[in-house]
Amino acid sequence: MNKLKYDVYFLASVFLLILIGLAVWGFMNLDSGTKAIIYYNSEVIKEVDLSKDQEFVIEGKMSEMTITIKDGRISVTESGCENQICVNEGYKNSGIITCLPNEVHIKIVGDE
Amino acid sequence: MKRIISLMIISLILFLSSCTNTLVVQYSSPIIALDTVIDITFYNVDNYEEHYQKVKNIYLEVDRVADDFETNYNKTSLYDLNINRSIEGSDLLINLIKEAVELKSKTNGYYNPFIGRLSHKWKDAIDTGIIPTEDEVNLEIDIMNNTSVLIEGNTITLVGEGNLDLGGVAKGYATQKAYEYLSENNITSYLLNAGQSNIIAGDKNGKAITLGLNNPNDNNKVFKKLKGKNIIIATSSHQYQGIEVDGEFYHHVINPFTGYPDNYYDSVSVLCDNSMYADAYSTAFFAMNIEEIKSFIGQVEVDVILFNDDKIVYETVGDEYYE
Repeated sequence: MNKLKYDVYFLASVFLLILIGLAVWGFMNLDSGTKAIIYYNSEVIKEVDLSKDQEFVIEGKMSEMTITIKDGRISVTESGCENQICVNEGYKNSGIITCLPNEVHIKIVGDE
Repeated sequence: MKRIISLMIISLILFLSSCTNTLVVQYSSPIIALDTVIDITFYNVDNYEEHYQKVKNIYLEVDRVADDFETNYNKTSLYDLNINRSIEGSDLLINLIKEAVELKSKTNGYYNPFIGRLSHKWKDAIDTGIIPTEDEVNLEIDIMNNTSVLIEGNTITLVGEGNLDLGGVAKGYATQKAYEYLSENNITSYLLNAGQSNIIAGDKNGKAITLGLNNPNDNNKVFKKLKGKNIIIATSSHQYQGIEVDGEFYHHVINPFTGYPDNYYDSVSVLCDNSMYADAYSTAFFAMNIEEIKSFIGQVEVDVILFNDDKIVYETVGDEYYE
């Protein structure tokens, strides 16, 4: 009888642990905070958190591009492309910044 | 003991029901077509990659035939028609042209697909800063007004010297086709954004989506928020495609009656139940003053948001827009 009682307690604890594990996993998969996904020719090359100020260089099809993150916004601050549309977009915290000549897209997500 | 088991069952039910409400955001890579970037985000959709691929193909197919700057592999694009004056076109191109011609009459000529030559002239002007003379513009209007299209079987023939430009409908047409594909497959949870100018906001796993309309003069400022489900909206604006010459601002949305761009509005948004109509109406409204638009929308079921000089100058929608 006692053994059965312990078995049930054991089962309940295992069950609880599984439940907590699943809940944590679910929480981690939630969309948290604003980030930017950087694509080169349809492939994701980098994901960055917009809450951390930083600057880095990526390689586009025809030139390097300098990406700057400042105060929760992202911008292409330098690009070797001819029309400079991506640079002229300035700092953004929503939508997409595109450099067609470089085939680079910066998609800002999480703030939906 | 029974209590423990029933507690386990209850918590399992609660957990599973909370799981079904968890929002799963499914991003996909941007699609490049029709001179723009198309982005689709699904929410809690099974096999979303497959649907993304179908939507992508719809845009790429329309892009192949509607391009008026480049030929396609079998010389059946709009460019080929404008150059060769008569081609054997695909059903898709024929449908697009028929819809465009019908929309010309639906908008009383404020949207005019025969504006091809004139719109190319203005695109060159925006690139070079050399504005066409009045004589040049008048000549082009004359050519435009004396051009029509003949469709016999799959043979498309341009009559007259003018060229076709499907810029005001192609993106809307493709977006409408994508919407129809998704609806037929019972997919409602997504946000489809074709270059900010054509947007369909389905729902977010059953909940309303909030859309922000950007101020074309300042990307980071939202001048209007719309909350709802199944929002179909198209926006025309002078953003990115304009030039100032001698204190005058010239952009790419040309009034087919005067041959010049109008500056009544910075942006015109149209909401209705068809993305292609919304696209063509937003182009047509750009060339109408407010009174003309008011009289027009009395005859068709559309909503508008007209924005100029950092404020909404006229609108027929509230902040909550539910279908």
